[in-house]
Amino acid sequence: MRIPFGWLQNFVKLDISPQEACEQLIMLGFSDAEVIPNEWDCLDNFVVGRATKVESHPGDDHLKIVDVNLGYTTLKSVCGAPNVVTGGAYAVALPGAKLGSGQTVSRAEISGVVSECVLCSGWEAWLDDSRDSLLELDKDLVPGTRLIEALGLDEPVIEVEVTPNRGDCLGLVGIARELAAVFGKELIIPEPAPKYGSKRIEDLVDVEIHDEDACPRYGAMVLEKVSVRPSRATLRAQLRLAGLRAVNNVVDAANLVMFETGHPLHAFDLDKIEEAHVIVRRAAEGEKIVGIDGAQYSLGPEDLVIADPSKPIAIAGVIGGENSEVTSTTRRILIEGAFFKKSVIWRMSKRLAIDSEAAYRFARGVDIEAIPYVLAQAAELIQDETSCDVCRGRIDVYPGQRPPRYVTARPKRINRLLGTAIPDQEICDYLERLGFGVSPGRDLEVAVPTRRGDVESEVDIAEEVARLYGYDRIRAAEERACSAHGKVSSSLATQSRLRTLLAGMGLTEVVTDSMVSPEVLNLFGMLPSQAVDIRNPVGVGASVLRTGLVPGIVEVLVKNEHRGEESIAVFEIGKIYDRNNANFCEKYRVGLGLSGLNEPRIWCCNARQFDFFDLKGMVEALLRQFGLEAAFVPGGPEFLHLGRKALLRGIEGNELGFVGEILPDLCGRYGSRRRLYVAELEFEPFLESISVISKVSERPKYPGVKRDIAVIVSKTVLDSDVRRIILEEGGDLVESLETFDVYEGKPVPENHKSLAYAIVFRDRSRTLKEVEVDEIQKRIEKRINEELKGTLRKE
Amino acid sequence: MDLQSEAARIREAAAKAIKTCKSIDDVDAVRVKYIGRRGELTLLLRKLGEVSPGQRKEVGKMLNAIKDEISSLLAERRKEIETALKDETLRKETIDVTLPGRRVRIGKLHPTLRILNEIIDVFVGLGFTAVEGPEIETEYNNFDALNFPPWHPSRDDFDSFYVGDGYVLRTHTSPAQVRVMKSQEPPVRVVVPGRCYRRDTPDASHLMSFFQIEGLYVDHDVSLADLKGTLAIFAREIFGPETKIRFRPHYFPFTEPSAELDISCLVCGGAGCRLCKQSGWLEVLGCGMVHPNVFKHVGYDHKAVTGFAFGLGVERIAMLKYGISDIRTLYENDLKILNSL
Ligand SMILES: [Zn+2]
Repeated sequence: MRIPFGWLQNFVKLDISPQEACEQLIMLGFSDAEVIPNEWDCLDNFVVGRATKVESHPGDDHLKIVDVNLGYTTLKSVCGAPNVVTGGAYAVALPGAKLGSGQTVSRAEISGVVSECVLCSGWEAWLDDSRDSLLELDKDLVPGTRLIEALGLDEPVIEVEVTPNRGDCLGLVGIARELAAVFGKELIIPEPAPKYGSKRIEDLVDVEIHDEDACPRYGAMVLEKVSVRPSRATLRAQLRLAGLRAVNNVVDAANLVMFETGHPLHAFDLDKIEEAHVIVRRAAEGEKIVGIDGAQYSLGPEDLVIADPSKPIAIAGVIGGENSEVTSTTRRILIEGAFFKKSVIWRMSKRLAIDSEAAYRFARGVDIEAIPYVLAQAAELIQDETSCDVCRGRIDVYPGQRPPRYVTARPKRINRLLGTAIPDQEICDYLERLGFGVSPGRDLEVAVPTRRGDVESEVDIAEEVARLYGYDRIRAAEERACSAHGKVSSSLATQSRLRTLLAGMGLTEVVTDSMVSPEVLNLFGMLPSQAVDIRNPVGVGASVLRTGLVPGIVEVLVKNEHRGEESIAVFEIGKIYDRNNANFCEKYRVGLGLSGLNEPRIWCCNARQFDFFDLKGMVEALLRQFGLEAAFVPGGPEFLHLGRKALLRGIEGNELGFVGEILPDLCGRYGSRRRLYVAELEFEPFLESISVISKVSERPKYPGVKRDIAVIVSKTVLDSDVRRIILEEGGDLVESLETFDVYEGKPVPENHKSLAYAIVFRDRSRTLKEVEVDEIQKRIEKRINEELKGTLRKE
Repeated sequence: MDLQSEAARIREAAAKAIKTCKSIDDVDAVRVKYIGRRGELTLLLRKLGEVSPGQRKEVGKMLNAIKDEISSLLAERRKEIETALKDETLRKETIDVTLPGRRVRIGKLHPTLRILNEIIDVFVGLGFTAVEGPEIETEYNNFDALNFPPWHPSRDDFDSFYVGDGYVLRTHTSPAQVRVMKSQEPPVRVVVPGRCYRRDTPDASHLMSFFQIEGLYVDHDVSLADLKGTLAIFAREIFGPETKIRFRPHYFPFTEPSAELDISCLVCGGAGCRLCKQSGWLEVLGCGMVHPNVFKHVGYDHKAVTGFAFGLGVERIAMLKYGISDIRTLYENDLKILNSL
């Protein structure tokens, strides 16, 4: 909302600077109030000039040669406009001035005559779009006066954001009321007094409302003998200050009244309304109307229209119809001042994508009781501008007159809510200044003005009081903030611990999109039927919620590879989603990804490529830190390399996640030239284990027996198969077991490998004898022999 | 030549020889030459018998003193040479200590989540318990229970993502207020962090998905002054002890009175600069007193309790703290940037 500061003073006399007004407005709840930078540097070389002589151009019938008196001198101008006359005052652009059309003024010869300055149209004088005729200025202006002064443009303009609940402040009067209240000044409301003619409106038009819910009040006035033409220059300048577009004197006047009061008005050409009969009704399915913007709109039963007996003539509160538009030939007009339901207007404007000034205001609420006032105001202004006849009386269809609304407010309660001690009298005073009626007592009965639809209960009253008292005067009470004890949920605590550990392992945390493309999920075979679709996505790129973290991780790996990153190690703790019919499920997962060198190239180390076991090692470290046990079983999702993937199984056989290398084909599709390693783990097991505390174990008292065993088995035998046998045979006596060597090649036979294990056997209750260990080793050897067709390697 | 002058000559010669020793072998050789079993001084000592008994004791004492002297000179020299040898061994092991050390790789936490956790820590310190809520929310919790009128713009398809009848990707963390209050009686003091979604066109300050943290405190006689106090502490903890706050009236459907919190500009401290658009203030969060209608929806007695709520965009705070001007920078997952923050 633009607030021309001088114009504002018509409604409240302020003795503060525009900057001070901004600060006050901010503290009243109008965010970002600021004085906008001077917009009128472009008019530096424009002055008022009087045409003292107008002659035809000898060489060109369409042109005239005009002597332009500028007070201090007289210049010649060659001009093609139809409306230049002797004695007329015009906007003159002097040499050096840049015109709204983009040209720069200089002395020029036009068909053999020297033109020293330019007489301007509204367009050329940066005012509006009017190009066909010269901007006519008030003849009383002193030639040589600067144009911005002559037009009244030389005033600061404040721009503020008005929150959607404050429709009453979408007019200058509303803003003035707020400032008047905060400074205890008088609010000046002009009394409109159009001069009525003899004709009575009842004899001229009928109005019917078919949907009183959507349109509870419809008022109208009729003006006759209107002559429609461009508005006076000063009026057009005012519109420009208000940020509105000039159309003609009727529409402009209606818009000015809207700008001041906040209440939109619409002017119809009465002669284009069939039978002069106005009906407010819902549109029929598929009913069409062409708006004054020239676009055709297709309507439906949820839309509200203003119609005559045969056709819609406007989309109520949103945009007028071309078929009833006020044009230069219009003689009789009907001005509409109505109240439409906020939600109806909002939906229409959104659905039809029409962002009009009227719809903006109706959607935020206007004052239903102000209709007679704004109509009279508009009639007076249009009469001033067009010297028309104003018909006596007013149509006012207002079936459901509402009683005034009262809210009970308890000063004590308000002070408790605000943490203040504002005296009762001061509270009453604040409310009265804002135009609320207050009947005093222990509890206040507050009459809410109809314009303040946002005030419904005591807390709303409290906010009004707080605003005028000043939010900045409310104390910051810190004592209570420090009086309690807080904690973090176990889920958040688990996430924190995981994140710290993963970062400690050298992985960098990333956050990827949770809304992803189905195509990408499909690439990974991760688009199950129970994926959660977004019904109204922005493009297909983000139309389904992710079902796994790997696609996002892969994208990060590849993007960073393409950015030239040699060594990439990342993780993400994020949610995945699915649905079971109407039940939605979302849960955290932990994703890890590695690609490129295992460390940045540096003088002292031979960097190598990351491999499967780097990632597996990290996963194992995580599990160890949380005291989780899991087995890695060959296998895993289809998007992983068939020989390089493992599923994690918990002790109960539950799946905990997977680790593996992305299929080379898939890497190729992403344009990666590397091997990419990813892991995705369930979050739940970590969460469950975080509260488990392991007890300290006693230092062993008895010596252990160390054995190194090497076995030769077929290449297809798994390390885990051998370990299983060792553990089963050793039982509780196996204190530790490490695979310390894997070897293929001579002297190991072809298609075979040697696996070497370092085992510590220990009995915690006595000294273990060598022979007992020999016994165990024999059993291990036997089973390896029988079950794995392997042999123990003799040193 | 008498024994004494011969001994003195040996002493001189030995001392001189010891000085020129370059190695342990040299030292041993000198030792053998003078005080070894056939050393010159040893041989001289054997001639002591030839000395007259009157002088024998005195001469013997002198010769032994010289022997001791040579011994200790030898020991000293041996030690010197040994030390020099050790130093030489170490010197050979000299390394270039200016070469970089082996890189210990430590990852980084994502800036948004790092800030989020800092904020959680501050509020936990102020007695708030941190919990989470679902991202797929009911329209009821996201809007209705929070006093959004049925026609409110943000319910629109243009502004919110819908995933099913009555289900929406939460547009703010505020529905968690509803869940918490429905599940426990007052007093309630929680913060709820999490991801939220809005149908914004991504630009330098908007994303379709972002992180928020919600705060809620409901008890007897909680006031706007308490809210202001809590947020004043928050602002000092997160932005530094000099930070000043400003409360401005604002509008949210689920709070009344509502406010926006500004902090004094981090760059200019309030004098006015480009970051704060010359105002001296930076907008940080929205807050207010819980609307009685919200209490009604969750079944609290709105006559008995009052409460405050606040919600803040985590990215905004991260951007202010790290000097990031385009919010999208945070989610490009560019390791160069993430590892530098
Ligand atoms: Zn600043």
